[in-house]
Amino acid sequence: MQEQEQEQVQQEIQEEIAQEISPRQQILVMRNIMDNQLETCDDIEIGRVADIEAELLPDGRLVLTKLLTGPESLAGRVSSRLRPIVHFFLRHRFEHSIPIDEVDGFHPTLRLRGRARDYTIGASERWIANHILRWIPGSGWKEWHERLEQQQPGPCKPETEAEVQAETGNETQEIRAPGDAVGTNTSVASTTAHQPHDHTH
Amino acid sequence: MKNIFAIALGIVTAIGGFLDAGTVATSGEAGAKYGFGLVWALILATIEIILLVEMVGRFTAVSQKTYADAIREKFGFKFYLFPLASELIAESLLLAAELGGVAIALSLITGISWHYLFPLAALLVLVLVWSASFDIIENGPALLGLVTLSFLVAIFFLGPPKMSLLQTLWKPPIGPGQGADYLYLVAAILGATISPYLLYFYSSGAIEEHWSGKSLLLNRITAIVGMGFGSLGSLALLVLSAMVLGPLHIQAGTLGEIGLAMAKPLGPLGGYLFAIALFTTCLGAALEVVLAVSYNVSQGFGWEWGQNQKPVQTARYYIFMIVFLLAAVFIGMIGIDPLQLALFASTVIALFLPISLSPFLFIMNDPAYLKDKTNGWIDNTAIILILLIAFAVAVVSIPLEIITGGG
Repeated sequence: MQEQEQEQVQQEIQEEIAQEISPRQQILVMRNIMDNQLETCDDIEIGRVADIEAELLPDGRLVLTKLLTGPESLAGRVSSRLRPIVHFFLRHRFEHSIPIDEVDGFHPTLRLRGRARDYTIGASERWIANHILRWIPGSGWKEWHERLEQQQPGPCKPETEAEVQAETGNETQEIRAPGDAVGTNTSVASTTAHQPHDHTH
Repeated sequence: MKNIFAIALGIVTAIGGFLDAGTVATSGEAGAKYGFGLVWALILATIEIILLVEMVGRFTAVSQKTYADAIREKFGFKFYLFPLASELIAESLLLAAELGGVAIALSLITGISWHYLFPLAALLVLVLVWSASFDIIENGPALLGLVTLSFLVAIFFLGPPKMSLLQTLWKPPIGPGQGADYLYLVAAILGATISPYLLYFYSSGAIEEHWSGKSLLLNRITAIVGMGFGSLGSLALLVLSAMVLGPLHIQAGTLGEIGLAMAKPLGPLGGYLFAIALFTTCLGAALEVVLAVSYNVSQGFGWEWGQNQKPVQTARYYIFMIVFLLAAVFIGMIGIDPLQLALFASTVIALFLPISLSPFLFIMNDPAYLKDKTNGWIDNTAIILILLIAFAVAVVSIPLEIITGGG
């Protein structure tokens, strides 16, 4: 019994140590990224990762550069034939990409450095609030709008240069699928084949 | 003291919130047609829902993720579309039936045709989901739903059942050509009781109420005791229908006919009690269905959600809720009798049960979510048995629907 308790305590200590490692130094698997929740620094959930964009460096490393969201990316996940159909109707209007540098942490959600209003993803939420719900009594629009107006744009906490240097080794994250060595499987990024489209803030 | 109150409230609301249009329709018709011959199906369905509710509550309390979160994150978007599509189809039918149940209850009290009261029922649901907090939505109708305990009082006034009726417990009176109808009701009872919306609602409710790993006891008691006692309402209605409607050869073809079972022992008061019970249970279920589907969609697509936030803070969640409610109103305005719609919805739910429940087998054994609270062999065996039953029911549900003409 005592041995079991000791093992449990040691396991908890190991987990705490793992969490103290900078997010940028962790080795990630696809499960940590794809379909995971995107959450801004002001605790607002703005969407989920639909796809990723990666770059094959000259030294052979495959590095993650952007997170993608939107109906076209999702359509491509369902079927590659569906993507051009969705593109025909939507013309990239609802596609968004977030540079990987914006990600501050990967667990339990993908935490972003900025506030919700700093990202184009989730703009539909604000549009619905401002153009439809505001006219319905009890929507809370007035207080919400005033709070947004008073909010400062940008990250929730200021980052000093020293903090950024201490945290980052690479500017981009190396990724691998479960069971694959880092940088050897170019198919990791090819969940769908598409041209990158920049809708960053 | 706070924990005891929370547990008591959980039990009470589970009791009051168990019944809905589907369970009223299936229990009433089962009792009227086959006496006690379908009690076993009700008990089986209750055991299954207890297990599933306990599991989904445990999952959310420990992982802090909802069921919809887990399906999207673990299985990917492509798989997620299947339970999503099945829920949208099945629950839109069920919501229309629940709104119809509310309208019929109001009709029984006021005498006005339920067709005119249907939009009023939808408006009531809209106002409540727009303005009420999660606690009020969860607890309000459920506490009022305790009026379903009057079914037990009615049975007491009727006295013990005759031996010939008691024998139907192990020898259901299935006449020639009634085999398909009997099996159809089995499928409908399972679909009505093991409604996936309950799992999405319960899971999301655990987050709304800030459950954590310390809430496992509350979860277990709510699931076992609450759901167990909650099924008493269904069982009581089945028994009432068997004792009153069966001998009179009333087939319980409408919700109003089922109410006659209360009128015999308790007179006009019984009729009003049934109407009130129908109103509160269908209203509570309608609220839960609307919320459950909105939770599912919002969580699956990663939108901000929550009943305790202002609508502008969760705009996409509320807009979807309004659109879904309008779709159900459109279905209901076609004019199909709510009892028939409830039976059909239960059959469709039964058809899609394997899709809705199969993720359980994987997520409940994933230590990444549940740490050391993953399923043991008993729970896993139970899930496999539930899935086998669900597959069997799914295969036969639509053919039986066609053969029997919907009960």
